[in-house]
Amino acid sequence: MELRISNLSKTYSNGVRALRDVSLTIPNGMFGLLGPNGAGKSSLMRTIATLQEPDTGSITLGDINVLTEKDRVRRVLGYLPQEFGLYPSISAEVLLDYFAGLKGIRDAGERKLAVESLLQQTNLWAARKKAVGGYSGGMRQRFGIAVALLGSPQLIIVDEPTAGLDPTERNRFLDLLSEIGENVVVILSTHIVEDVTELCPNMAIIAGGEVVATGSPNDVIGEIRGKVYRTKTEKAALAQLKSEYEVISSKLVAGQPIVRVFSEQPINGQFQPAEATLEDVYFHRLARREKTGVNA
Amino acid sequence: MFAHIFRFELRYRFTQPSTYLYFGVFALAGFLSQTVEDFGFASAKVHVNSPDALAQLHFIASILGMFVTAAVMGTPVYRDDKDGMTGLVYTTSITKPAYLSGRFLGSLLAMWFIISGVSVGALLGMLMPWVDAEKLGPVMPLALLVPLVFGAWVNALFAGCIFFAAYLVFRSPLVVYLGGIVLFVLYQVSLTFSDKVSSDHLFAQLDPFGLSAKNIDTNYWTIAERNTRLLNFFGGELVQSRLMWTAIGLLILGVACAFFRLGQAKTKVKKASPEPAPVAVGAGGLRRSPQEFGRGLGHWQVWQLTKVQFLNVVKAWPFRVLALLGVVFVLFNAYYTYQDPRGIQMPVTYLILKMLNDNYTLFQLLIITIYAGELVWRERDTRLQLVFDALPFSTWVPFLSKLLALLAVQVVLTLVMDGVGLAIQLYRAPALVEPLHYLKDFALQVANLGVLCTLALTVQTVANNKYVGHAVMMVYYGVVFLLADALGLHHALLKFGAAVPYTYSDMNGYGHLVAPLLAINAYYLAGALVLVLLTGLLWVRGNDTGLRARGRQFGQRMQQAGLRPALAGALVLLFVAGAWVFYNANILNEYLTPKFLEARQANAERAYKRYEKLPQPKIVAISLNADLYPTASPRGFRMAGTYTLRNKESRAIDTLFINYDNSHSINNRLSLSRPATVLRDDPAAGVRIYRLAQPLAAGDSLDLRFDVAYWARGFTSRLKGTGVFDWANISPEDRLTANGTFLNDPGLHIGYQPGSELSEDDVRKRNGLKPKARALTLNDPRGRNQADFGPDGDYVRYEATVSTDPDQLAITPGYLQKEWLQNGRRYFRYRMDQPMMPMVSVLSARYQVHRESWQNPAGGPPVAIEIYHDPKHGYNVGRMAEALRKALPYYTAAFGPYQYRQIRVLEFPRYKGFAQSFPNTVPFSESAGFIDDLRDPTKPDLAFFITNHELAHQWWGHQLVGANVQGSSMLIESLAEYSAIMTAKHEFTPAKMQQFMRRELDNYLRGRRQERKKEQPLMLCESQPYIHYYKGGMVFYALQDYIGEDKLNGALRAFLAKNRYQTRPYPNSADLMTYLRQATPDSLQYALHDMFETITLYKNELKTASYTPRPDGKFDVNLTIKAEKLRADSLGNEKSIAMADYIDLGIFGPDKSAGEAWDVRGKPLFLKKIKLTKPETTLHFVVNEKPVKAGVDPYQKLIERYYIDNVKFVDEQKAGSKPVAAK
Repeated sequence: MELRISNLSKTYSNGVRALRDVSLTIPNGMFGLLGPNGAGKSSLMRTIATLQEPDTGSITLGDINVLTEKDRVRRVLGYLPQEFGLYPSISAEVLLDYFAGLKGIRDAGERKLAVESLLQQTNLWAARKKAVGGYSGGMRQRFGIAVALLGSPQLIIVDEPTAGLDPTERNRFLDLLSEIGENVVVILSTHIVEDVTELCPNMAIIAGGEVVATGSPNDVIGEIRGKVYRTKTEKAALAQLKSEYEVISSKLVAGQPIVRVFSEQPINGQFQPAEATLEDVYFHRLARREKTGVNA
Repeated sequence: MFAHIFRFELRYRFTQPSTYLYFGVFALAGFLSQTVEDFGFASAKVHVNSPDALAQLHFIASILGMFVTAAVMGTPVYRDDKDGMTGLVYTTSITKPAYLSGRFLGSLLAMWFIISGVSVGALLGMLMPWVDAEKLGPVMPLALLVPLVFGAWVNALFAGCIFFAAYLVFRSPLVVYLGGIVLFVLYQVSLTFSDKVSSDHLFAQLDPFGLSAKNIDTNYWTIAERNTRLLNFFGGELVQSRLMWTAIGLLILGVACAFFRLGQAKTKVKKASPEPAPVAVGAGGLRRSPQEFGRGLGHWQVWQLTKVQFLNVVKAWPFRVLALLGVVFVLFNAYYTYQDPRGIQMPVTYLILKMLNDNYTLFQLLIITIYAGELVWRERDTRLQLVFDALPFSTWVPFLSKLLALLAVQVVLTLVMDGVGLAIQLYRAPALVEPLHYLKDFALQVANLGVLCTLALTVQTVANNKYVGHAVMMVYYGVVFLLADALGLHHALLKFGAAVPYTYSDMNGYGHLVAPLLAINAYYLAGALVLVLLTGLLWVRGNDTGLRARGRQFGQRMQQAGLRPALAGALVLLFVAGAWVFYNANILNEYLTPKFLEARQANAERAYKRYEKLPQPKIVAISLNADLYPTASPRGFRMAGTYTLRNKESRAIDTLFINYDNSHSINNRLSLSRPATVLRDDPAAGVRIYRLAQPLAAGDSLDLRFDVAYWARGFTSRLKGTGVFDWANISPEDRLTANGTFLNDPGLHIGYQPGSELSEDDVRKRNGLKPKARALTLNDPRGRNQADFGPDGDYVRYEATVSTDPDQLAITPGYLQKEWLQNGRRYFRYRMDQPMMPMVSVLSARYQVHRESWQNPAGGPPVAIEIYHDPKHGYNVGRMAEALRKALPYYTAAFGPYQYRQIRVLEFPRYKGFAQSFPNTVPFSESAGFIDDLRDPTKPDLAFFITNHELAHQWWGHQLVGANVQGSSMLIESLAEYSAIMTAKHEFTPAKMQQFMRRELDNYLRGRRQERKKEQPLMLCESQPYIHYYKGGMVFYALQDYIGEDKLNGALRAFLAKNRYQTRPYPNSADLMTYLRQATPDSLQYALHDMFETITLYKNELKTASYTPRPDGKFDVNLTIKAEKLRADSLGNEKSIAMADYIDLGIFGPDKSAGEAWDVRGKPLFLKKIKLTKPETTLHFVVNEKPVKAGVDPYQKLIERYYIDNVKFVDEQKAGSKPVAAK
């Protein structure tokens, strides 16, 4: 199964251009979609999840035309939106059973097993009798994950799934994903670079509605490998540094800024070469984009 | 701080387009009320911009506009909650009072602006040049301003308080709407009952919007007052209503504000559950469950979803509150229905069902509207839609399941209501329960609810905005349920979703209305099916709700397998059902609209008015062969026979003017016994004019032979006002029915019929005709030569043969000569052995007959008393026979002998609700006495009264017939009413009698309010029912009290003896006045002038009443009496006139039965007519027992609008205090 996105564009009625000519090919396995807030990740995912119409472009999943054969897509789809609510006064167990039914798990026994399994996997078993209205943010998020994983989805789209999860839960969830991710397409959007680094054999960086980089994390990092330098500096000197170098990021460590810069030419002095990370690529690309945006 | 929030709220409101949209809607309503006929609250003589009509407009607008108030006043705090702003807003340094008052007052100001649209629109409307000047009074700014401020604004303030408070307390917009429903129900309850219990203060106050209070305050206002008098908001019921409900609103708001905390809306669960400790993950990892997407999944999913959503609605408390409220409402209604002082009826199943449907329809409409919004928005309101919409179900699944859930909710409500109805019936009369009838009604209800639920969901889906959806549905209800006919939407095909009107009769069941009920419902249901399919295509799925995206989805979904054939099939069904309705209503039968009928009448008048004075021969004999086929297919009748016409004029007649029934379904074949040519035949007007080859010489006769046939073809459109509701234009299909036929003569009339002309001046005007006098003047020579019933004939000979089904009895005036069976049909031959008025009725039904007889002790043949009734309706048959048995001796002794040897009362189906007196024959509607509930002897007994009223017509109307001039209806109707009142006087207890006379007075005073031309004095009345029945009844009853029963009856007897069977000239009311004057002493002659020749009212009041015990055990009583006599003109302009009148003064012991405070039901300790000459008189009396009440005209024999201040409790004057100076 392969998800192929070609020349997808979408402009909202308020004039926001959410997607500009996006083309991606997503094979089986985990696919990381990295991008800042408002980059168009959610728009892209909703479009793949049949919830939104693009203006132009096409999407196919295997032999399914996603844009016109929505019913076929939905049968193999597991989707977790970035934000959602739940009917407040129903217990998790009942609600999940309800969703299981709507997902086509018609056999009552099978449904029971599926619900039990997922509630355990998402660590909601102990709270299964409680009304979901009283769930904490993390619990609700896990419940959403359970809904997305119900049945045997072939295409799993999870939008910012780890937001709001504590580290234990985050790990548990990512393990779960990678377990199924071997045989199905999993699209994971996030703005946390680590999620992608750790899990995804393939990824794309998306910003301003455009794909700015795509490939395996290694490939993506390849383009800046050996061109990243780091230095410790003073807060007062930061502005000076930024005007002189192509600063990728600056981070406070123990109150002192650590600055990473990109340079085609080796630079010396206070700088030391640094191991390029996905994060560097990400920020580098964003910074580049911003600059061209300003220049344009 | 306050100012800041207030300004922010105002800015928000006044930048919202919805504010101006709402304003525009109100303005449009105001504008239309002035410029469009039948839209406002005026009548023929009440100006469209009269203070009364404008006040009504403002009240109604503010009540119907309550949903706008809810949307504006219920949402200010909700906005912050919904947009998640609370966290930001409440953490500023804002104070609660500033926040709430700023939001509330800002919104209130906006609401006041919005509702002012009514006044602005109305003002604009009345200034439009095309508004008929006659409909317009002077422009009075106060008439707009006063009801705007004290009516509409106060209502907006009150309702705003409630809505604002409801949100503060419950933090749920749904509850805000439910609060609206509660208010609406209160209003409905009080309106229903203030109409039933005319003077009840309680109900006036129960209406939070003040309309009932207004109605009671202006109940007896005359036309002149309605046109000129500003509503007094500082007195009467209104001031109390306004103050009380404003106070209640503010109180509730205050409590809610105190309760409110600046903070997040609470969730159901008090605190988030603590994170449970991690549990070891079960072995085996993630379960990949197989999904089955085969056949039947869709149905299964629909079922699952329907169940969940249905339970979701019915398990929530708002729904339960609403359902309970409905039950309480119905029970309350039932309780008061069975307390109605104007009579109660047996709880037969159709009445119970009618009560349920009448009272619950509103609930159902509101519940459908609101819950359609809730269901459609359910996922989006909980922000679940993205999860939900990506699930693998077809797009029609959620829509269909929501439809089924909504319908299931309605079905449950309907079943609950039926349960309530059943309980009421079981409690009051268990034998009357008809389970099958409940079932049929249930089926009709569900069909209608299915259509409405579909429509409401469609509107919500298409509009894609909950509040716009609500508004659209409100407009729909207004247009289709309330104003359809006013807007000219008469055809059932146009009233999509409206309940199909029908009348159920115990005698005839659903009868011939089954066919239209099935066909029209099939058409609506097919329409609903089309909507279901289309709405499935438009269903919002995903977050892309732009028009373009929805259009594209629509296109994609159209490609679904089976969709196009299904849509095509549904459209075919819609078309076939619609075509069938159209074929029946418009092609098989003539489709009539009120405007068309008016125009046809106007055309006939223009074409033939010139024949009005053409001398015509009179009918002198009628010979009729009527064959009725009530259960044949098609149903029908054939009436053949002859009218013998004689030239009673002094010269020869060569032109004959015949009217016949112009209904398309009636086939008329006419011929004359003499050679003649047809000069003109006009089937549209139903007129044929013959030129006789040989003129008909004076005194000579000829025969008009007729063969008139009717065969039912399909079903007709039934218009309000021309279908089952209006006898004059009623189509024969409602008169010849399977069980319960009631036909009149064959529809032939001789000579031009002025009675068929349009009578209302405004209707005439819009049809290009000049105003016309309602009656000829008292001594008009032509009028004096015609009977009041019409110019066709004087007393005639009558014989008839009637045939019908073998299991039915057929009856027509006259005595049964012979009865036989022939060819499987039953024949009856009747003959009247003396001349009678040419009033013919033919009835046939499966009757059971109650027979008894009365023997006049003075000799003569016995009189047979026969009651023909439906076997189910035996309840009051004995009582009706008893009424006749008691009235026959009274009438015989009082007025003279009964001319027949038989009196028959015959039940007919309730397609019409009257009783009418034909010679020796009284057709009596199923709903007018046969099902009255007389089991409680303290309740009114209209069966007794109406029976005797009709019997009295055998004297007043059949022995004595007035001329076709003003005042003749007094001779016929007032005297019949008086006669029946006298039998009641001797039969009823005084308390019951007082209750009864109150009804007469109330009906008269309310009738004046509705006068469309001019109120006439009694002796000149022009067939005005409120005068000839109710004022007539009051006046003659008072007159017998003043001059004595025997004296009055003696005068009437002498008058009748002189004029019995008198024709050409027929007597008029002036003739009767001569006899009354002779019987009245000089001291009371003034009363005749007041009662008969003028419109005179009293304004009497007992100002103070006190007593002191005397040492001898007696009591001194002091009364201060105010008395005033008023003379009114034809529009009710009153002026005070000098008086020297005898008026009852009474002092009474304690009440012996319950009644109003102004009733006296105790023993009279003193009762005498005292001559009052001054505006205020103080009088002193001594009575033997302790007085409790006293009164001036305490039994309310005189006509008076403010009778409630006539009676007072007598207070004890403390000994030692200064005694009131006694005269």
